[in-house]
Amino acid sequence: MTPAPVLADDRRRVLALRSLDILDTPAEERFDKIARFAAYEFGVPIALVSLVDENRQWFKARVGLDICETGRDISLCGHAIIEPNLFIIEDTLESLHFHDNPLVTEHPHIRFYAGAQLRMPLGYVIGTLCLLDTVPRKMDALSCTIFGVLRDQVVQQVLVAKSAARETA
Amino acid sequence: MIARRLLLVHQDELFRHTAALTLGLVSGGRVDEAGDSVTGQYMMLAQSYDALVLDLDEGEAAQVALDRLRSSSFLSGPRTPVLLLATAGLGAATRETLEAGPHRVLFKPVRVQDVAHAVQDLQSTREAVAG
Repeated sequence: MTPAPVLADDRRRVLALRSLDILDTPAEERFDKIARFAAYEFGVPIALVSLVDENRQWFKARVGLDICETGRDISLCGHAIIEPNLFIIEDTLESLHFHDNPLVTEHPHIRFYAGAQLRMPLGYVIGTLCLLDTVPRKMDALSCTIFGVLRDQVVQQVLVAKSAARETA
Repeated sequence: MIARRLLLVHQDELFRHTAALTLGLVSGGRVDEAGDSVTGQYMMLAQSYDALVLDLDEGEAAQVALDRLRSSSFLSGPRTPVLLLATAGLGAATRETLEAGPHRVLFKPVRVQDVAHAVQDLQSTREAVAG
């Protein structure tokens, strides 16, 4: 297994994420709705809004998964946040990097992964909107376009939530 | 090729916005959005569209928009392709509308990719007839 890499400027990225005050907050319909929408649109059993913290990934919204966080080292989103734009693994068992990942070999037995970076206006990537399936899949160009549009709406909602929290403070 | 200028009327903001942005990116054209049929009718009075996507779940208001389209009340002509999004069975008036032009219906739940494909089909049909 290839652990999720950590780039040199990760500390600044984590600080940017934590400044949003979104980690470990209750579920919010604005994010849950997008996750449900994504799961239906792409026909996958699991869709997540995943935020990559210093040592973990934590799920702000989740459909079809009964855990709220995993270690960053085993997370696929930890890889996705350093890849340009969309990060897609059509079949994890065919991947040298992921075939023996515990999230692949054990629950939730991920075979397909697609992650779209949540890049904030200052350039920091705080996490991903991601799709998971227990069977291999492909995504065509139209699906990738829709996925990118949905990702942009997650970013927009993060900014709206931060703005709303600031107004009520 | 998808319509150059399209109007999408749908009450659900997430669906509407996702579909509008996607259709705009795929076609390179302009996609206007309206959250209800009344707003959509005002937009059709001010602008001609190459295709329309209308949510029928507003009931009477949506049907009024269709009737006005058929009677040439808008800048878009009665032959403008319309994609209707419906929950269940269609009323007689809606069936008449469907038969009167190059229109299509999709039954909910509908995916954005279904809408994109249907709009593309509508436009292809229209271009084939025009050509």
